[in-house]
Amino acid sequence: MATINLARIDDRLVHGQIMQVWSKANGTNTIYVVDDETANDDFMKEVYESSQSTGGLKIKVFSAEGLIKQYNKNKFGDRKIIIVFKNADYVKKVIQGGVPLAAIDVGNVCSKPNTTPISQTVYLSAKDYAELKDIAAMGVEVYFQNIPSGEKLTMDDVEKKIGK
Amino acid sequence: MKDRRILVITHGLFGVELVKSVEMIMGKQECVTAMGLIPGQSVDDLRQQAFEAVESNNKDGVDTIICCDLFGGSPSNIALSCLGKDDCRVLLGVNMPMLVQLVQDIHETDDIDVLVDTAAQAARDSIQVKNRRNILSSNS
Repeated sequence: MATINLARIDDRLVHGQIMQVWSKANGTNTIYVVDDETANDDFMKEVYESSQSTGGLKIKVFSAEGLIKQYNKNKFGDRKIIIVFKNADYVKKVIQGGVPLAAIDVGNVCSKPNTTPISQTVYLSAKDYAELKDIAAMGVEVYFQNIPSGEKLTMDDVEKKIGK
Repeated sequence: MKDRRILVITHGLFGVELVKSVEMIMGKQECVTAMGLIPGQSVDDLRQQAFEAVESNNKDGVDTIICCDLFGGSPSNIALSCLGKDDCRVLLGVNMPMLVQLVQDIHETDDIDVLVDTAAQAARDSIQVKNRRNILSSNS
């Protein structure tokens, strides 16, 4: 049976924190990236999928629809996986499509106009926040942690910061 | 020989400061610029800036050499995505000896691939471990 070691919203996709730190724990051997735009960009897809230099890590890029298809095909086999989502919208889609996620980490969401800082690396728009609340309401634990040694915030902590 | 410009992209201000450090040894460098990725900053915005730098070099008939800190990190993702747009060169694992070598040879070496290979080798060769024993034995 497959194990999902980490499901994470990270708009940097696969980058230093994922390659150097998160992927080194719990026997992770696979990273799935979920982003429609990258999945449709052959060159960038190749850049991510070919960067698996650290100890035989397999990296695959999917659209949200593609990840659901892959799950329905083989339940992700017996892989030990990190799933990295570009945004909360894709997380919602794949859960609704039947991919079982127990928890989702919000790791990096960059600063944009009309966003509220939650931490040094997460800035949420009203839409992001509403989507995360929807995800939590589906019984998924939503938390906010950039790196394993860093502070971990809960949805309640964030609710206080956003003030609703 | 086509002119060249160097673009250093790193996590945080490492690259910005590295360029200043290189200039302490090699003097002011017009051909080198640096961009740093700051926590919370949009990677897509930084990628756009890098694309624009590469394109403007292209318009000026100049080749671009991009130096990044860590393979697999966001700066290297940005640099590699530039390869999708342009026939530039990307060096990963930038350090001071690499950049010093590049700056030294940038107007001297005709072949850009020889230029970057030499800089990559200088970066590798610069890493040494010293202790009391090997310092004393190299003197004997």
